[in-house]
Amino acid sequence: MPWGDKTINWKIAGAAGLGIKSTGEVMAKALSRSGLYINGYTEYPSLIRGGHNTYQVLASEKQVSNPRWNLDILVALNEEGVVLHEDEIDERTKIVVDESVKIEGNRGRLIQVPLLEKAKELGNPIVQNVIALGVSAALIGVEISIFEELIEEEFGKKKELLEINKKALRVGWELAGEERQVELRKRADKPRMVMSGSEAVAMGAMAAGMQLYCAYPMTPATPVMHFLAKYQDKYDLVVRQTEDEIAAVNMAIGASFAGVKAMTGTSGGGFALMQEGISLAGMLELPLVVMLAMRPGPATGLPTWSSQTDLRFAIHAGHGEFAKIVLAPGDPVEAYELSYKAFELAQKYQTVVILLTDKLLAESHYSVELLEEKPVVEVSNVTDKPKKPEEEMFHRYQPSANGVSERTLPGLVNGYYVANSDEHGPEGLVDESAEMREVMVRRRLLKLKSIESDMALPVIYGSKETKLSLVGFGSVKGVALEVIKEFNDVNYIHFNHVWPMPSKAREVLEGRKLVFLENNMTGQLEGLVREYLGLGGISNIRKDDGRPFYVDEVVNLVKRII
Amino acid sequence: MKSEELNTSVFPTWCPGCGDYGIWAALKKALSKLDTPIENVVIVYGIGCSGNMASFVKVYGVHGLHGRAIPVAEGIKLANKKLKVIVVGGDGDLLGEGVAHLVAASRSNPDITVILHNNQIYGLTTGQSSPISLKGSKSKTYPMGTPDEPLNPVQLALTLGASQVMRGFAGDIEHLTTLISDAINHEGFSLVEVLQPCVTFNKINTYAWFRERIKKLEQPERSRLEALKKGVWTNQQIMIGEFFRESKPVLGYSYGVLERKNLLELKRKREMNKLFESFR
Repeated sequence: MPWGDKTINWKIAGAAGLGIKSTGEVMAKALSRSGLYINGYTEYPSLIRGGHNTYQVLASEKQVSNPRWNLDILVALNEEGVVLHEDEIDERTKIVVDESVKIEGNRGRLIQVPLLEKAKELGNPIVQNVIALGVSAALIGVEISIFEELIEEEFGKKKELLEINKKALRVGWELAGEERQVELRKRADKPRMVMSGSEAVAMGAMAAGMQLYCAYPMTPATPVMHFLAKYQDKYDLVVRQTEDEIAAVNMAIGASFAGVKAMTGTSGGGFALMQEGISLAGMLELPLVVMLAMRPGPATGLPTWSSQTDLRFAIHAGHGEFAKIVLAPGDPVEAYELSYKAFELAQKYQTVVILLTDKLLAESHYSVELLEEKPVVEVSNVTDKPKKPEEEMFHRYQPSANGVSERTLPGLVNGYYVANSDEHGPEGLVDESAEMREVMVRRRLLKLKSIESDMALPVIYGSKETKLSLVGFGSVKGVALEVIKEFNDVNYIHFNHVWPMPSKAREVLEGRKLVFLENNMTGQLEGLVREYLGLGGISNIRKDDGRPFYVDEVVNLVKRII
Repeated sequence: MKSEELNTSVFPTWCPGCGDYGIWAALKKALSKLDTPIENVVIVYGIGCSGNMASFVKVYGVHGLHGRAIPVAEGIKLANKKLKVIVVGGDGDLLGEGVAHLVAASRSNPDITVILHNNQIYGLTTGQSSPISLKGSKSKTYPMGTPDEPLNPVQLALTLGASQVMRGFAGDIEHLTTLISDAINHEGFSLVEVLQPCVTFNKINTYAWFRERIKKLEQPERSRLEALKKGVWTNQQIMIGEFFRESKPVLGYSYGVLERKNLLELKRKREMNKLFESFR
């Protein structure tokens, strides 16, 4: 059994609609409750029924942060479930499959069990996934009560469903027979959290005191909206599904003008529609948080797959020149922290903050130590004592030392001003003179300098002195941390504050042999580092096939470069 | 408050005789006699000659993007339900680029008032056809005649469930003032279409042309269907006044939290630990 090296790589595969994802999530949580670190990764095509879905869980006694390729256990609910994963199977792989499925020529060890027959006996063919879960529990050797508890949490008061699922779990456990792992992993004293990047983003925003989330559904941004919608009443916030992304961004801007902390979220195509609104927030100088969950483009691209192809798009979002901020979390802890920080920075600098995630981070599950509560972010730079009440209107766009000016909120006497998309004077009234344009455009860009001091420098993971440094941003952190475990002399330099790029980042990167690791084909981070820090890499590793980097794949490439 | 007190330091840049002056005057008059304090009024403007009004009225204002004033207004109203929120936009703005938002807002009934300046032409971009230009009318972009059927905003809003639908005329400031006041006071979505002659680019639909055809409604119709019939434009007659009014739940009431409180005032600390625990 693979417990020898203290990791297990489990995957369930089958047709959409069979509960692949929910089964996988139960497995991820069960292994976490038994004291292991987990990484859960899901693949599915852009279909509701039919098509091939998978969920895989990598579990280990040490932190794991990215899916691995070779499987220890493959649960296949149909023939495709084996055939399509032939490459991930080796002689150690145990393949759990229904006895009716005919499999030839694979390299793993077949464990054929009557999944469907038993499910039918229990009165519901769908529970074959739970039977398979029971078989898996026995093979891995995890206390069955942990699974039972999770099923109880899942079905709660639906008594009939609960009973049939618990029976199915037992049936599966028995079916494992002699293959069963005898040494059981018991419950951990203090289990960690199992969390997706989307959940972390949503909770960061909640912690910051976000009051309004408006969005139009788009994969892979939607889980954030689902999560917030579920908790909106309990946590005093409002989720509004708008007619389109254009409405979403404009509505958030309106709410922000009125003093509410607002956020919107979308993916590539929706973000494309939001450009004019992002530019508007830049001109009106209103706080706005936008989550951009990347997926492969151009156009509709691969709707349910992952990539890091929109870094440049985020940085250049909106027409015209104005200060904006781009943060790119690499795991759920960073997602929580940076989602919160996005609100702080948006308020502090009265501008747009883009939170850059991707499908891999948004929809994968990770082990997370308990997060920390935070104080609500204050709506800042707002005055209720207009400085010049005798003046005709409030000088909301008054030039200042760092480019940020005080604003008023509607409802305040003598605070009148116009948040004007046209170039304007201090009170927001239109002014097309060359002099005023010069003053205002410089003022808005002046913020960039101050923002730079709030941009954290890239962090080095692994030893400081090495032959070679991998460099990446966002979710590539997961694979990078796995890869450097395989070498003594390779470290990873991680950017999560990507824009404005802090000039001091040069000191972190300087004098190293840099290899840029990116899920895109044009080296977008590499290009920015060249352009803004004047440093180049000795090589790069790029991939944009919708799938994450796998550890072995990157390890082999790094070996060649060394 | 006198309506002149609502003037800013900028005098309107509209062409002499423009219908926008009439709407500007009526809006200021309506605001000056409003029960709500003036600091609780926000006007959201679109882009175009109508949107240029942003610099001519001394209240809180947002001069937004072409076609996008309605969602901004909705956001403001969701954020602070104490505010009276008014949208000022043109026919190109609200029926061209922004028509999706007019459709959505008519359906969802946010408590906002939309004043649609209808001059049947794009004025600020110097005379192109608008979604409301009469079929066959000639313009810079359709010198041989506009090929499309014109939209009818009153009928559009009526069929989509808008809770108050009106039409006024920029040449009758007193009547228009009453309509705008009623619309601002109405709880729910109000559309006020205003017939507004463009003296520079629209030589057909002039003040005289409208005066020959306009007839006032005595009172709102009892049913949407009757209101729809009255809303029709013919070459002989165009009705103005209030077509239909209905009292129904306002956007936001479906959210428990908004029924209880004002979104703006929700600042209490979020108790996250219990939620975190549920992830174990």
